[in-house]
Amino acid sequence: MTRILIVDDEEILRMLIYDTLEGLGYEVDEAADGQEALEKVVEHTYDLMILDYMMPNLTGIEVLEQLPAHIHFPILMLSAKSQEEDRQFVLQKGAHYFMAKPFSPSELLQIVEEILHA
Amino acid sequence: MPKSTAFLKRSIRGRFFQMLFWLTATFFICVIAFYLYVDQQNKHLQTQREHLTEKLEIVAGMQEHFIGISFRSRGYYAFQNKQELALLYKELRSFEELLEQFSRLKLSEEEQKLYSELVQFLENYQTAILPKTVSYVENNDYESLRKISNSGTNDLFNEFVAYTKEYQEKTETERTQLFNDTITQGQMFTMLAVLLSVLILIAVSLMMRKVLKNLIQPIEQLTSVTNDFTVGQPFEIRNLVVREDEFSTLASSFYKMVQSIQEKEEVLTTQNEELVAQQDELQDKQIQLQDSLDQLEKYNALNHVLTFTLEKQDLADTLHRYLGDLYTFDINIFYWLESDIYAAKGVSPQSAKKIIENLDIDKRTRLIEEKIFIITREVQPDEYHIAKQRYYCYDLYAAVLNKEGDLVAVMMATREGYPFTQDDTRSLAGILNRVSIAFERILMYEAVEKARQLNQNIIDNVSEGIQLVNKTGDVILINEALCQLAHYENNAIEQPLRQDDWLQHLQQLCDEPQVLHEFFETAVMEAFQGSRKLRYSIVGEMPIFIEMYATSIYEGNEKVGTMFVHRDITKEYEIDQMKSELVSTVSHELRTPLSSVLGFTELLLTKNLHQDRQQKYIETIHKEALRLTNLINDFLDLQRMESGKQQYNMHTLSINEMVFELVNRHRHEKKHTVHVIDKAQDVQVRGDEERLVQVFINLIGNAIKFSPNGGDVIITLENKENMLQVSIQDEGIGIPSQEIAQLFRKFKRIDNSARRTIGGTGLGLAICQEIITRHRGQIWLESEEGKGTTVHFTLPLENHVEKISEQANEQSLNVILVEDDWSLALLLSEEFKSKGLNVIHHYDLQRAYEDACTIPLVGIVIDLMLTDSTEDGWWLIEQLKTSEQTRHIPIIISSALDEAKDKVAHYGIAKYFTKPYSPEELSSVLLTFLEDV
Repeated sequence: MTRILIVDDEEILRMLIYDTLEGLGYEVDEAADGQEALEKVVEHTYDLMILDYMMPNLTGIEVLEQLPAHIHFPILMLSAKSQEEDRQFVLQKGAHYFMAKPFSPSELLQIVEEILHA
Repeated sequence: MPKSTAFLKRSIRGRFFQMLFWLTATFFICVIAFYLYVDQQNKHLQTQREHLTEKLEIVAGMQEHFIGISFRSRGYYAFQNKQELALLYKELRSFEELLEQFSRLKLSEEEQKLYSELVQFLENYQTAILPKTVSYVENNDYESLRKISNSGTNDLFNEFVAYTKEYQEKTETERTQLFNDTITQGQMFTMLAVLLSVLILIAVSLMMRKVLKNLIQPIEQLTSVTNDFTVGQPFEIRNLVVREDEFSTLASSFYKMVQSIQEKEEVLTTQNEELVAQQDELQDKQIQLQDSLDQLEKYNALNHVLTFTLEKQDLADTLHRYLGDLYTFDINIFYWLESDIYAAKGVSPQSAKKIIENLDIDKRTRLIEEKIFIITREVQPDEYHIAKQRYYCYDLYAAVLNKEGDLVAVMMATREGYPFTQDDTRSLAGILNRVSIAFERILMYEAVEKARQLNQNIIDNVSEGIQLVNKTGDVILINEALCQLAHYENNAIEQPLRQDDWLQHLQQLCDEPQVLHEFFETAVMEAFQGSRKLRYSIVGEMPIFIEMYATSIYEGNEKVGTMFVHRDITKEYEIDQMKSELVSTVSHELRTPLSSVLGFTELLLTKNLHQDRQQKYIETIHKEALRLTNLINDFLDLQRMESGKQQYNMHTLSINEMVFELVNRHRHEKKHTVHVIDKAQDVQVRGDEERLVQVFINLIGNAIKFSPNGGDVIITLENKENMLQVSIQDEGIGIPSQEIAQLFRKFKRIDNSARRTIGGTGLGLAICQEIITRHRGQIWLESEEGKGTTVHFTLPLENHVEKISEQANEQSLNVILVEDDWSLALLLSEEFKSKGLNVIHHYDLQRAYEDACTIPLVGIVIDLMLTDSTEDGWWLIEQLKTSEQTRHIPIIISSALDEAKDKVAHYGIAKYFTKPYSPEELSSVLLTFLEDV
């Protein structure tokens, strides 16, 4: 079964993503902050991580920087910063895909499916 | 030519040459004769010596060959050797030759005899002896040989050898004699030469003596004549003139010279007398000139002051002194009108001022019209000095007028018994005209100086740093602001500050020294229109951001310098930074709820959901939409307030009223109890009700939000000096101390996860601060992480009245009021406070009980029916009465219900009030408790 990890400090957004992906055959896991995410990626294996940029304590970028070396699954970064330079910055920092907030669930789903079937 | 020949004979030179000629001639003749004689003698001796030598050599040769003949003959006899015989013949021939040579010499008689003997011997030997002996030898007849040998041949040999030897010695003696003769002769010649030299020397001396005598005599005569002439005695020169040599010429020239000198002397004596007369005259003139020079120097000093001085006092003093010297005034006053500047002599300053101020209008008019006038008057008896007779004095009045013809200075002078001349007044008028010009100049200078000072002040007080540099980049002006900005110490630049020094100083401070250096240099070097801009920052603990403008300054078309303006844009820079931070934050804050709204709406639209799920989604959307609305409202509020567009409707407000009403709204909080401690005697402030309510809602909301585990929220009202201080205290998570300062900045929520989950716009405190500041109050907060936060703010009281019962306040006379009707609570609170009691208001029974346990109380007022409480007032009374700590506290019941007499009696209730009742009655009961204590 395909495992997806959602990392976002906003509970509502986690719920939104969870509900979007629900019932489509994915096993969805959640982390409320960067630290939790870093712990989970070591404990379990995932096929995709959906990571929020702006989080307290550890930002999305810091999570990317601290990811253990053996982790190779794709990472989709969500960010309220939607400028092209922000996008470039995020991709350069090691994220594989980028999505600006606000996003529509169908768009998100589309990208997730593209990534997983690529 | 005969004349010159005669002269040659007579002249000293001629005679000298003649004498020299004869002397030289005699000398040469003697020398030649001497030489010839010596030479001849020498030659004679030489010949004799040579002759002797030759004779000696020949005799020696003959002797040698003679001996040779003897030896060879013996050799032949002994060995019969033919070779010896041949050699014998050879010797014979050589002897014969030498004999021949000898015969040719000049021979003495003795020598002639020797010669003839030898010739005879040779003939005998050759013809008789030799052939005999040869035949004997050949026949070996040695007997005959021996005979022949003894016959005397040997004797002849020996005789000859002896003779030659003797001859040789004789000749040698002769030669020695000859040599000695030569030496003797040489000595004689030397003697002769010395004698000759002495003779010549004597002749020369005699001649010199004669010449000198001829020269010195006339010179001595001439010297004596000159001496006589010099000392002025009569003299005779004729005996010199009659001579016919050079001295005659010299004497006649001298004579003419003397005559000429005598003539000239007479002329000179006359001239000298004239000169002496002129010298006397000149000395007189010099004294006059010296006087004029003194005058001129003083005049120059005056001129200098008139031309250059920039001070009225200086001008007055110099002028006064100069005029006093020039006109010998007895009394002299010079006074600048409309200023206290004067110079006076002969009167005290006070009288001088009085005299000028008391000038009557007529005199003033005359001054303006005539500029100078003189009044002659008889000296009054009380003005007499030592002399007691009648005399006159002359008062001079003179005016200095400005361009417009107004009187600016007055001069008054008096001379006793010594009138003023026309020249005096004319020159004085001239001087005063120049004073008028100098005065104008001083006024102009003062105006310019004032303007310059003004400019300097302006430049120094401009908040921008201003700097003017010349063409080569040296700083010629720098204002106070720039010095402060650049931490530069030397403000008053005496000489231009060199470009390198300045740049070095500035480069040390700034972040990009190279860029700054290039900008400065190109701005100085190039002439450009408009202005150029550079931003740099001065590094340090608090970096300062500076925008520098450079503008070329032209005179005509030529660039003469560059002006640099350094503007501190730190605030703008920070605002810029904040703005971009704000945009970024706002963007994030808006996008997150938007994501929820958009996402859940889409899910609702696209997914077939259970009704519960739908309900949940819609609630979420609503919540998030509200969050968005709040955010936008807060943001707009703040924006409006900061831009100053917010209208404040100021009214008189009772803050406690507002607080009680607001607290009432929170009575349903589950985890929190919000209550009021009202200690403020005066709660009347002027403010905008709506805005202040916003502050309370924000702060109480924060207190609740940031104490997620519940607890008390206590609102305290106090009077502090002329302010009302409100404190809102919670028991929440608190704030790290290092973050407190930043808390009032926009969107500054403390980023920890606990706070993150709480939400909020991050604008609340900024809005509160804005509102409180507009009400001329202050807001600050204290906090301890994990223990809670207290936000304080103050508002100025409307009436600055004295506190009514400060004493009561100090004694902390507290009353707990448990009342759920906030209007009644407020009413009672007001009443209690007016009696000097502090009111602790509670809705919550449990919290009221806890306070009663800890706070010393005068009494407690309890409402029995509390709408939200599961328990009623009796529960609290039960608690109070059962606890040892609280049993003694007097209890007053305030209730809408009728009195339950049994319970009242049971619990020992002090007083039971049935609503409605007069608050005053209640408070007077409370005061009776005080008396009991």
